Amino acid sequence: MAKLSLSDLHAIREREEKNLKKRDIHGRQIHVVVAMGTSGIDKGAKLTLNTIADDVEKLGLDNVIITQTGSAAPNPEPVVEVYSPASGLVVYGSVDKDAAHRIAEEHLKDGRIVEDLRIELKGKEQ
Amino acid sequence: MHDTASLLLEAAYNSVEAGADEIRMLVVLEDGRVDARVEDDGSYALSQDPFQDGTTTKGEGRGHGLHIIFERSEGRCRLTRGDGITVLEFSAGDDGSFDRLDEALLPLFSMDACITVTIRKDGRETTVSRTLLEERDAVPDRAVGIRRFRTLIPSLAKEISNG
Repeated sequence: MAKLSLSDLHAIREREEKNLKKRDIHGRQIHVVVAMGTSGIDKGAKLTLNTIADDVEKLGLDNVIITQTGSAAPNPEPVVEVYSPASGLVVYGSVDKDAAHRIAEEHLKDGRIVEDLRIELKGKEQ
Repeated sequence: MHDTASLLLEAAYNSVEAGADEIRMLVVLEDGRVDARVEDDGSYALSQDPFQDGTTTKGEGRGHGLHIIFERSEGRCRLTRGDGITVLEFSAGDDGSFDRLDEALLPLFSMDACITVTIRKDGRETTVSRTLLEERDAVPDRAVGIRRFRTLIPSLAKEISNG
């Protein structure tokens, strides 16, 4: 078997670190999904997404991954879904900037569901 | 209410839903206007008037995105397709939504899509791509990526402002 050079070993380590990082992203404990379709954007979902992103960064919530999806109509938008092992799926409606701060602080950081913002998700438009 | 930067998001969603593998955007900020060109390799069934409200192949309740672009651009928009590339162009007033470039671009780059955005201002330009962000571990979908994104994008914006 041919010997590996130091640069070969560095290349392998770099590749494997990238692979590990990819797996790590999918294995994160809390998944936040912001509905960003046309109706959501119209109601301010861009600000909601930016606010949650800022708070996740400022609070150092390394176990959270943020993604987005399309319209959540006819639910009260902006809609934010939070999946966590502890609470399962929790859906929040009418998530303006203040509500986004509360979700980040209370649910994502402290693990407490923000009951007064919680909604029952109605069927999404296709 | 859609700000001008949100029109790019609408365009990106259309591209993603059309199955585009690559989306290229050019945004020119000049004389109080935002001129945008969005190219993608998605597969579309273009209707005669794609900007009409509710025109869609995606089902009931859809098809408002292009209409919003039409309204916000006061009709200064067009959609063309040739050689497998679809091009959406529009021109809208600069409402300041690109002043904080990181806020304008974060929703685009937190999408899991191969997007490249070139911003041109006063003859100078800078390009941000998903590939660049991945290389710098700055995809804004988690704390460390958001932190790096919030640092990287303003530094690029400064380059085109200061030359």
